[in-house]
Amino acid sequence: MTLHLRVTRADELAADVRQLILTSIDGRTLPSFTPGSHIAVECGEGRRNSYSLTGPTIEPDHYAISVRLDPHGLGGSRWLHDVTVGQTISAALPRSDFAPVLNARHHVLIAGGIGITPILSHARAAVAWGRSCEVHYAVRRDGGTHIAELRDLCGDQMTVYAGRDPLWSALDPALRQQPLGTHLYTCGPASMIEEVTERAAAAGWPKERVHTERFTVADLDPGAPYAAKLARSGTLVPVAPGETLLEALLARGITVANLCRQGVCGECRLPVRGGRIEHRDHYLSDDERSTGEAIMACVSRAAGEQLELDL
Amino acid sequence: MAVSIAHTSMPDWVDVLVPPKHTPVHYVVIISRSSDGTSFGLPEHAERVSAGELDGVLERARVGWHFVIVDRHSQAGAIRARLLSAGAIDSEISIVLTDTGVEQERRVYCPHCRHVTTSLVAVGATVACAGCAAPLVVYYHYSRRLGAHLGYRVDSEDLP
Repeated sequence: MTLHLRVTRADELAADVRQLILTSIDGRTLPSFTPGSHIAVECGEGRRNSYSLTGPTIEPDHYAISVRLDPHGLGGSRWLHDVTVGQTISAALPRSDFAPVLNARHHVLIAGGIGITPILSHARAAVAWGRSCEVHYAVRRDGGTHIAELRDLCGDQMTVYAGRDPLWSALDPALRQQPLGTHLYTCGPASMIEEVTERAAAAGWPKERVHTERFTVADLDPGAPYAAKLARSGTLVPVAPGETLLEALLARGITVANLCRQGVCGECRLPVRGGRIEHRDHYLSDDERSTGEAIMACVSRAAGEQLELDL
Repeated sequence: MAVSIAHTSMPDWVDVLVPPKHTPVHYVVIISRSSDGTSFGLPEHAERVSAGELDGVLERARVGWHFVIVDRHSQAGAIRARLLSAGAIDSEISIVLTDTGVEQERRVYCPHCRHVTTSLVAVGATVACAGCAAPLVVYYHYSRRLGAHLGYRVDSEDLP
């Protein structure tokens, strides 16, 4: 199902961050969503970018997204910075792989830069439902976004850090004094998420307590050429270096559901019958990887010369 | 009961310590008086407590701690239920059984009177409920929350 949304307001939150307020065309409330959800917005011809929803979650009269301009991106954020008030845009229904654990004793929310957007949604819900939470927010020198709004919500339960070093200095002791039953949520650049994950592990945290929302993935190696064999028809689909399995299949007219194309959302999972896999996604669990029965076609590749798909 | 036990809610606890996949910073060993616990390869620096001391420990427990329960099947399940309700998750709990024979002491929940009966009984065998005397089959449905097997009346499927 596609949502058709009207841009009813646009605000510059920072030099490179634009907030868009989106409402339904017929004036009805929009679908409710779980805190930390995002919507995939169509931004120009054939482009879809995912943005976290920062506003109210239950029967909301608007969706709010904060779009950071990526000057090196493929043009999606540029398109959303140029969109005008009154214009209609299309988006998919909200999705989430970053929901709060509702029986958690306490929530530690850690954001870097524009990664504050799903964290704001978490903080808003935590305050509304009386859940205990604390926010750690690392910003760049030119300041962060949504700080005043978070200060109103969280008061002294939020700490803002000028860069990552002060964040790490405060986080290491904080990670060692959380009551049993605390869950941690983090969103920001990939390198920051990696380091939060590593520091939590060093403080003895099991990974089930550490929840991550990635909006960028590290640049992947183009890889070696291989062939994907479609087991049911016997067709061989060559996959070139730098080309993804998803792109190769789509180019052959083979329909594969897909969304983020970053190995995050889980949409393009394909069943595998044979051949070793170089898993490069953030979606499959370690157990799922070890069985070798599934591949995320948008980022992962064959580890050998051929991969047999159950298609 | 033609069923694959691996696909039921039956616990897969064993009599050796299965170490956690992550690296906890502190270990708490909850150990029954009847066991010396020396033969299980537990970390030397671990804090040792009895089940009676557990509430005080849970008040100061932190994320990063790992709990090792050394006890009989019936007590291990009950202690584990206490840990879960205090906020612990599966990966923060290891269980070392001190009774691994077929006839383990088991806790059996009676759905008729809600009494939990503790008895030396095998799964699939019958036990009399200590609350209402109903003859209960010890079912392979194991409740993590209660730390007990579900029991059902042995004649519950007979026509009256």
